[in-house]
Amino acid sequence: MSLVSNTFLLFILAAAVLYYLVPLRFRWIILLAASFLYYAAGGVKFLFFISYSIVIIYGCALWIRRLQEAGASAGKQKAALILGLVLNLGMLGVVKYTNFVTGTLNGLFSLQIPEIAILFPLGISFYTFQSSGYLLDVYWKRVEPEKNFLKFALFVSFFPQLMQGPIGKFDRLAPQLTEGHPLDLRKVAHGLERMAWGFAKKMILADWAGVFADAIWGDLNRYRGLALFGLLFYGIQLYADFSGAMDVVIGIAELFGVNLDENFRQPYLAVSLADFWRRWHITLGRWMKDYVFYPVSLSGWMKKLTKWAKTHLGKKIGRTLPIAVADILVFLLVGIWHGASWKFVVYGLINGFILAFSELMSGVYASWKKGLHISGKEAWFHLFQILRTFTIVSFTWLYDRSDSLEQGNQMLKLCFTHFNPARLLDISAGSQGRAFAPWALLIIAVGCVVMVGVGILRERGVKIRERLNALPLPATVAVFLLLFIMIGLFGCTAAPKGFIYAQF
Amino acid sequence: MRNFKRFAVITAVVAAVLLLLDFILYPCTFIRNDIHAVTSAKYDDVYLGTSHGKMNIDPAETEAVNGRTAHNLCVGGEYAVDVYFLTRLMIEKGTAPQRIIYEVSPDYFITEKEEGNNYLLFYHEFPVSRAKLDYFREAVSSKNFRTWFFPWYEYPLSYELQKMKETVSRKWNKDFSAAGMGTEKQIYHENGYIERTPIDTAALDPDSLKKLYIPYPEDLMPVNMEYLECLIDLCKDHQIELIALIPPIPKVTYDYFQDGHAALDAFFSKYFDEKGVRFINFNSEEMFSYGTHTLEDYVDLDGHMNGEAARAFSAQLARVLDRPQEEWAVWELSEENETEDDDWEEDALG
Repeated sequence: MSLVSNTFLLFILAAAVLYYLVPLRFRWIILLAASFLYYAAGGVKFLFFISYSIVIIYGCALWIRRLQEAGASAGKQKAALILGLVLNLGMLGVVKYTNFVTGTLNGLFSLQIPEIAILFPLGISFYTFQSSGYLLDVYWKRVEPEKNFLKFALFVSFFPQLMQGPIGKFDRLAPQLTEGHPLDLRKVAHGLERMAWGFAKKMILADWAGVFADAIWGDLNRYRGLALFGLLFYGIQLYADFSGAMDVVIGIAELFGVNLDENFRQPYLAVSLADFWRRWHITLGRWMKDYVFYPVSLSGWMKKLTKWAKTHLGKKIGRTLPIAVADILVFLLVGIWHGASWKFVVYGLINGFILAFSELMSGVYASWKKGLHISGKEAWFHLFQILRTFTIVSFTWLYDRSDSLEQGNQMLKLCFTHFNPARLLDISAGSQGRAFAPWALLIIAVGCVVMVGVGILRERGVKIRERLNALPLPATVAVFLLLFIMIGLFGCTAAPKGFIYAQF
Repeated sequence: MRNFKRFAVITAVVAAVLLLLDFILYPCTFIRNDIHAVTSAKYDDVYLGTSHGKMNIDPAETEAVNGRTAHNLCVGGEYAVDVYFLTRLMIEKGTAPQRIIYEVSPDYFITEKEEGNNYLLFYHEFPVSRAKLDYFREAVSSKNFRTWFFPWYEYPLSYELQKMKETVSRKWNKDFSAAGMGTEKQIYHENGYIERTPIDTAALDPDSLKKLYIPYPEDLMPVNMEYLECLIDLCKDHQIELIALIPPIPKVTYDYFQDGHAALDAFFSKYFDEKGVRFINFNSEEMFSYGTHTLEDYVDLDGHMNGEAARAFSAQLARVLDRPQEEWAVWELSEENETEDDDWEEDALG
């Protein structure tokens, strides 16, 4: 059930009406039923996978807590944790990476291991991470384990976030889901506004940019002079698509009185790659930080490495080396999380190495800045940092978007050897064909200006939605109605495409 | 309570704005006229199908031969699902014809209706009815929400704005006439027939044959066959005679795809025979000589006829449908035409 389909909107309407019709203390049951219904609509067979994840993590969390209460040894507790993680993430590994591993082995050792037809359950990358994070939190005694099985099932399966995130944390999300919210029409209106904004981002900006990106990537021989534009359009598409989906998801949750975590904070205004990753897919970054980065950088073997590096490579490198290693590991995992392909491994490693390199070079950069008399507060330098980061990020998308590592390499080469922007006008723009290409480009340009403008205002702390909502009611309604109608007027007319992150 | 009232007012305002936009922006198509025609009057025959049926069958000519009132409800983009729901609509409105002649275009059985490409052409014009509700449920509900809120998104804004005055005038005055809808090359008739003016067929590019595709039976998509089956059952349940028809195509096209045509004819002959549906294929061996295959009678290689040929074919069709075989006209290719077509084929095949 696509988020943009009529069926989904009707489903939301029915779920919301039912939610507010039943008594407060039973409202979470409506959310649970809606979540399982929604998931089953994608394929009843997928219910097995999510149920498996729920049962495993629910059981292991209670077991760990019982061991802790009984004063069992740390080893036993850890064994229970590892068992839970292996069973949960193992399922993700099997369904997502089996064929990747066998394909790689076949390639390396000329084997003939056949590919296996494995179901890929919807949203599995998101709910396995969310539930695994909960198990680790229980292990570290950050949260109390949920005793009510159905309430825990709701935490794992809450339908708006199931397919694309954001990846929620138990202590913030679970109480909101189960407490039952009274009808607050202001909140409902907020949710609808947020949904309209998300749909506009997706259907106007992401889908039009996607038309050009797909055309260029789909025929590199024909559009070889547009490789740079291919990168640019994909960057626009990916951001508008994913952040648009998050707006829709967060808006839907607001209809039920639930505040989900934000997943984006003006990422293309980041001043460094590290800053970018604090603004892009924030909940995945937080998950990696909490459950991979810190445990790795504070682990015993990392302490040994630090000690060794301090002795052999100097104090400065000794201090930063563990961070650099953890960065590489985290982004290797981020890459693998995105998909079972070498191009994603490369994508993750590029990010990891750039971050690690920046970390190791931070002292050198500081001395350069000092030598050039740059305080870091200059507007031009800030702009330079933003453009530099955007350029780096755009090039990292190469391997995210390409169909293969080879295509990514070809695209990279073309970016520096061919440039022919006039060919943009040869691209067929939706159902109106080539004649509409200039107008579609104009729509993209205006959309980008709006997005950048909104981003700058947010960076300056302007609360745009609150300001709009402070206007007289007819004016607020007019603004959001106009935004909604824009989708009809300027939305992409090419055959509609699903959200990019829904495939993870 | 005050908040509820506000919410209700806002919802009403939004709905009113959306309806107003639909009223002024969704252009008046000939399908609007056609659906109005078949739901406000009862015809003996209704022709359903694709652009081949639309341009090759003139109900005025068929009526002149067999005396049966008829309307042409074919149009390019009409899939089996549309045919099924159009039939249901006529039944629901009490205007179901005695007979439906369904022009079966195999191309429409190997693809699915494409969202964003005149997807709403029929659905949008359906009056409020159970058929419309089911049509929505089965064919529109899974599509993106613009199909519901902004059905006009399927047309370019520039076209909508250019047509806006006419659109408003026609809708306001409940004008369902075909007057002013055609162009120099396409003349729209009130009975649903679109007449194409003849062209210089010598100027047709033989290479364009390569862009055509004739499917083989294994290419047919189950969803389309399911709706065809539903249509057959629906007609049986309501005592509507259903006849399946494949109109003739130019000989050069037929020859180019001869194997495909033979395979399709065998498949559909067997299929319709098993279903108890009469099937007339003017490209089959038995019927070949009863249809025109001369390239000069067409406006393209795909098989759309010019007006004169379409009228002659329509009269022939009426005879085939309702008169004994002795009265069917035999359309033999002249030697001259045959030679020309052969030359064409050589060009096309290189």
